[in-house]
Amino acid sequence: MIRRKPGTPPLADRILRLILDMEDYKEKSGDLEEVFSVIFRESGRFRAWIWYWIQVLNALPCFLNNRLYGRFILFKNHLKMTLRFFKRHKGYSSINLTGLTIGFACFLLILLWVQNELKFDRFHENKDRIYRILNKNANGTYANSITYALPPHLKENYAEVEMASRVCPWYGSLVKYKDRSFEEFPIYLTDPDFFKMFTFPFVQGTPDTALPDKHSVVLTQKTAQRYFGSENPLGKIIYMTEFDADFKVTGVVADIPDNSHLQFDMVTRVEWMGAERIARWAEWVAPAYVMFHKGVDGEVFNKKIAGIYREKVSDDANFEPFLQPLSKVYLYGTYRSEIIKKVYLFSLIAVFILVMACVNFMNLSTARSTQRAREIGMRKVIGATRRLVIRQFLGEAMWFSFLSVFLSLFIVWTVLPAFNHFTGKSLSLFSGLSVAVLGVLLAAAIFTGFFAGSYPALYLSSFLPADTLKNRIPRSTGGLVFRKVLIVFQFTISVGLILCTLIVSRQMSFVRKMDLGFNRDHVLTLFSNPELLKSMDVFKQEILDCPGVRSMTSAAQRPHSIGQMIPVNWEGNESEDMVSVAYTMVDYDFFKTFDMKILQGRSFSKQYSTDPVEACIINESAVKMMGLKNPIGTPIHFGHWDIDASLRNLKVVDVVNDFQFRSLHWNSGPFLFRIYRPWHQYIFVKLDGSRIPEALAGIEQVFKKFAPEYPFRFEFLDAAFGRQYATETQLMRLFNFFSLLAVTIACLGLFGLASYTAEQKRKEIGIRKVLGASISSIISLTTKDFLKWILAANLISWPVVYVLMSGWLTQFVDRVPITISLFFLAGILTFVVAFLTVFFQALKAALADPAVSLRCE
Amino acid sequence: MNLLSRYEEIILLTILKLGDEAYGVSIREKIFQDSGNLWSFASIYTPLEKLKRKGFVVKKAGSPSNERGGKSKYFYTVTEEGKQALLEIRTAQDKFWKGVPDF
Repeated sequence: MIRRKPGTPPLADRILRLILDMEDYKEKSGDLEEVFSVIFRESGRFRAWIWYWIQVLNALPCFLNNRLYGRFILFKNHLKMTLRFFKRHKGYSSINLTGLTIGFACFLLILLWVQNELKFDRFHENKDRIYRILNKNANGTYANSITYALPPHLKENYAEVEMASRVCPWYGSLVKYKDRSFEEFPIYLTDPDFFKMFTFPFVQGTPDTALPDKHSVVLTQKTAQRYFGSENPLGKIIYMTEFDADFKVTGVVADIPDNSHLQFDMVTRVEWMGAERIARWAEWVAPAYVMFHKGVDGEVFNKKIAGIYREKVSDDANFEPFLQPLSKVYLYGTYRSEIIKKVYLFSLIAVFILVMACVNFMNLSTARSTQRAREIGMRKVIGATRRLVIRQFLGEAMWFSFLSVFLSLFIVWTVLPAFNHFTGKSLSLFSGLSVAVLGVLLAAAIFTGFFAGSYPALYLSSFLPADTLKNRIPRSTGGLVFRKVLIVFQFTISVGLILCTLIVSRQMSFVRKMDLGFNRDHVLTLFSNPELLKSMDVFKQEILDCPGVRSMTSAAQRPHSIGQMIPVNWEGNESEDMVSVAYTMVDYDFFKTFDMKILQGRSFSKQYSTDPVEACIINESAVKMMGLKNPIGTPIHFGHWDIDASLRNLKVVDVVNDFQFRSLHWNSGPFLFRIYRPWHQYIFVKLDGSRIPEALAGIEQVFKKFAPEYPFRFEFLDAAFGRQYATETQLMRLFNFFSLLAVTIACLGLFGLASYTAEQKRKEIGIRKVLGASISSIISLTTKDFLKWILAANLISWPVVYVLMSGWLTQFVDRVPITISLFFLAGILTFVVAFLTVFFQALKAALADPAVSLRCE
Repeated sequence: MNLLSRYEEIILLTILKLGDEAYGVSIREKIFQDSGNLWSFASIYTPLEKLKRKGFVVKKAGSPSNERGGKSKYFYTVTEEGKQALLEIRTAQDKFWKGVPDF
């Protein structure tokens, strides 16, 4: 009879092998197998297996305990050594810890910011099915205003579209309830589908019953509180002066979260824009959104409706609708100066800063290797393997890494309000610490510990015990080269960030100081209202009588941000087609208020009673575009639908200089001014710069007299102008902040290395001094080397920054040149900082008494 | 006074009785013979590990044997400190028992 060799359960055996070390495994599994084979022979395989498993599982806690106990003893010892070393070298250890902590704090801040940006508009339940309709032009640009006939057309004629809503942010209105009145702006004009598509939770009412007709309105909780206090808002009637109508409150939604690109206080029906206007196919009004049924592909649908304007608007329409997924609305906008690029850029900076902090840690740890050489030698003599020493130093780096993550949480917590203030965000640490952020942070901590600890661990564990105990520290030149490369790397990044900061801030101050073709200094902007429009002439007279007021005008838009275009035609137009030009409706004295140059000095004037009916003034670009030799008197057809037909035929009365009527991301071009009061939203008052407070007080009085119900709101044009560049300003501030930190970290690393080399050269310096070297020559000896690396770092980062920033600048039509002086400035800055950092170490080394440093030979 | 636990005491005594032949399986069997209880291996290894840490026993590898799948036996012997500890607990026990009324 052949006796089969009894096999123990393989999985149980695996487990044993996994948790026990070799010797224990042999002993324990041997014992178990011996009994196992007896049971196997007597009661069979099944029973034996069961018995084996029970024994293994039973003994598991005991085995694990044994295993961990050994580790724990070692771990306790390592921790003790780390703490002792920390205590003995407080200065060095805190520099090391500070570097890492700053690195992590930066990383965490950027992480919170990135998370906030990426989470925009993610709270809508149907987020994957909602699309914004953009207008895609032939030249590849996108506009966020579409014709309002399109959304209902899509909903009715295409089975894919479940819902559609136009969303027009109407500029505002005075809203009254009993004795309370507030100015609301903007008021969203939408279709009833709005609340069914988007998830804005209702506190009162339901999405289905909201906005049943033109006279219904939905408020946010905050707004309802403002009007009704503790009363129940549902069913209350409010009055809006803009539409001269009563509205019934049909719903109250919770306040809009910050991370929504749709921000509103009040929503009513889009029909208030005028039934005719929203049914028209050829007027570009405002944004709109559609929601598809499940499983519809937006891309495919885009292709399907690409020709819709050629069918509905005109045969040669060279633009088409483009559906943009909701998730891209905030991050990509209209595909100009996209936020997503900033997200990438700062994520990259975060990683760079963290790597710099790691590099720092490596540098400082290896620089202090002399102090630990004997400890390592001792360990090895007692029997530690190289692996064990590596494990010790990796463990130490882990400790530092986790400690600094912990500290950085505190730092972030304290600086977050300041960070929010200058980025204009409202980030919070506690709600921001999501699973994703914590996960990334944990991964970063482990990575940092591993990465930062790897080089010191490998380096330190390579020491030969015999050498270290004889007080001979191995000096590997390879290691030093590696550390120099690290320093060059750190400074390359620092120089790069400094350069970016310089270029961005140059460009921004250029933008701010640029001659826009109109003077915006000391121009006060008031927000117009129906009361003022009613009695504009009297109001103007009284304002002009106020002390410190130089002139006043009003207009439909602010001169620095005008996007409206209308088709025009003129006598002598060769192509017969209407051409679009930008335009705005102004009032008398517009050019005087903004110091614009009128070619003939004719301007709009009350002396000519026909001016409001038929006068227009065009700019030089328009003259050029129309090819007019003698522009004055040229008849122009003003193709605006909503204006009375009698006002559509104009004559050029004068020509004005070109001016920048859009942000500098755009080219300005042909422009047309005409007088037309009813649509004026803004009143501009030019003040005497030295009498502003006085003038403000006077203007407020007059304003209150004419429009007592309206709050007196004003803004200096300069501030509104600055807001146009909010993204860039924010970018500049973030750059400032992070380049400062990067330089700090790099300097910490440099400091560490300088102190290391100074120590290595102690004897050399001693001998030189004995032989009569001067202190200055010794200082230059030690610092020269470092400055060479800084030069190298500069030379590496300059071309990279040049390419990157040239790319960034192309988004501005007018831009500053990137001059060589900027590069030198950044270079000198890093040189000075690096020199100061190294200088003190060099000085200390140079001043040391040679008798002390040479004594031990 | 740091006394042995009862399990540790039993194991130490068993190892002493087994002499040169004390390893996992034989210790377990001997305890079964003396007490009638068949202990699980876990309840042998736990006290053994503690005794080892305290330095009361030492472990030595024997030669590999076939019935163990080619793995060596590991034999335990009681050290002088171990014997000392046994004596200590015995005197302590005697002291505690002294003067206890009959029951």
